[in-house]
Amino acid sequence: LAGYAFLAPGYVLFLIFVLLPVVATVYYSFTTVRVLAGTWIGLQNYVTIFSDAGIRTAFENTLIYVLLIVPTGLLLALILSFLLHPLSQRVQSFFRAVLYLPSVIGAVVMSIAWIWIYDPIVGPLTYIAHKLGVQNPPVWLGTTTTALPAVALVVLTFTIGQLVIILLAALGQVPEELREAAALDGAGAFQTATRVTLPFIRPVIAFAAAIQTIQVFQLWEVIYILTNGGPNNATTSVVYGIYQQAFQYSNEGVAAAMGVVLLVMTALAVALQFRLWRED
Amino acid sequence: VTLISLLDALPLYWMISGSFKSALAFNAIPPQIIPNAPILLNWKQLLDGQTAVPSEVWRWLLNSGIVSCVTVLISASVSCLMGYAFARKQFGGRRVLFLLVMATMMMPIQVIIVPLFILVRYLHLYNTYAGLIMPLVVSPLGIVLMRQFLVRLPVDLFDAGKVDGCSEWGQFWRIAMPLAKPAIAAVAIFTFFSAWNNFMWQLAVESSTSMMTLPVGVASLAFGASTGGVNYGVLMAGGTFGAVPMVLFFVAFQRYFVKGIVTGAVKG
Repeated sequence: LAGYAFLAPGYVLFLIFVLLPVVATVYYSFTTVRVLAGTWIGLQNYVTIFSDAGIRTAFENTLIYVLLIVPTGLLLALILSFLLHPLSQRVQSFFRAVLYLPSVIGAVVMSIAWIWIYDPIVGPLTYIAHKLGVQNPPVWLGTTTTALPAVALVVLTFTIGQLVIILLAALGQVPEELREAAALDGAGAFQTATRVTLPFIRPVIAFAAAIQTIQVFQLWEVIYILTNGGPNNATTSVVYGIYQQAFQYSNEGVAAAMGVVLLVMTALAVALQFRLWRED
Repeated sequence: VTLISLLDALPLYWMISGSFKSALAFNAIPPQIIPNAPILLNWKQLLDGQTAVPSEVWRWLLNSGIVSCVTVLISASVSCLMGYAFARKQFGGRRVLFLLVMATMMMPIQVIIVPLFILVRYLHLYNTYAGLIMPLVVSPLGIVLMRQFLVRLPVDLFDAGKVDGCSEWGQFWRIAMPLAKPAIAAVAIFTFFSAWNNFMWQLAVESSTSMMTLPVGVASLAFGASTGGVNYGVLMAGGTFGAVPMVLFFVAFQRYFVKGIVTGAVKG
């Protein structure tokens, strides 16, 4: 009985501010939302999601973001971790801190720094491009082909730190004997890394990939500050779309339906993560 | 490694040095890596609120501080109480109730933002501190973490407490909580961090300049800028101002940050 007493206050809050809104989101996704109760319109919001070009682009872009950011991030983080691992604890924790700093500061402030870096006239990136002999460097955020990679690069700068922290910790758990045995058998450093160490930390790599995927699913601050989803929807994402539908276009029903789809996407990523986890 | 790390931190340096540049220095070619003639004008304008868009940085800092601190206080208490109940108490429906919490652990707030917004407006909490805070006070992840920690404490401790005449509350307050201090610290820090950076919710609920939290306020500087001429100096000063609290926070609690990220990954 005491159990309920400890549980009740928090659980009431949980019901009101988490569980009830989840149920409401699912309900709203089948309605047009006015004040509290909506008008039932069946699957129409979901039809909109798939027929509206802008919203479809948002989903496609989110997948592109994942495909662009997650593998690059993992590869970079792996290289960094392998290079950092043999160094002393103090050096390791210094670089860990430097790499993690951008994510502490947060997407909003980091994006503000990048507004200027990407400035097509006075930005330093344009200057570097000129120096490298590029005649007419593109307007980084204003050209459909460069805008999305530009946003992805910003995301990479503030998500790489946690990947390195996770992978470094995993490398610390690889038994020294394993590596020594490999060396005795005549394996070079590179072979030891790919044949012994990598398979050993594979579940952690999968975990890191899942975390970053879920993070990229939620990407929107960078877009909000740098591009507003443009040019011509080239950089928009699912969550940015939710923001637009809910707070700019007053299409709360469509926003709710997009939320439901996002929830399913996240659940799938989590499920995949658990599966990869269990394989070992 | 050094190179990549430096590249990663470079935008930050760029922003800070930019906050000391005059409009003229911004247009200089080649860009001045160290401002030739550093000026304090940008900072003066920012701090005095003499900017194109209204700026109340101190007020924003205060707002962010209030919102994040209150959120942490309530959220940590809730996580402790609920985690304790799930870990140490037997009661009907425990499994189902816990599963529901687990299921929402990874859910982004954007999924439920529409009903939350409607709820907060219905309760007349729009543009208030309570409206900013209430939806964030329950952290499923915090509850789960506390439960995982408390479930590992040996039963003997609590039995001994009972023998010595400890009440239910006494067992929680005198035995479980002192032992759980490291877990509480981790949960509190993580909650503070996510409350501070919960950008979309803050943006949705705040309508007046004086209710803005720091990230929203700093972002609003960027928007004023994008319509007219861009005053990069003030914008970079604003960005730097927005970065300082979190950097200090990180430096103070770095140990816990790393531990928090790693426990999830390596222990599983």
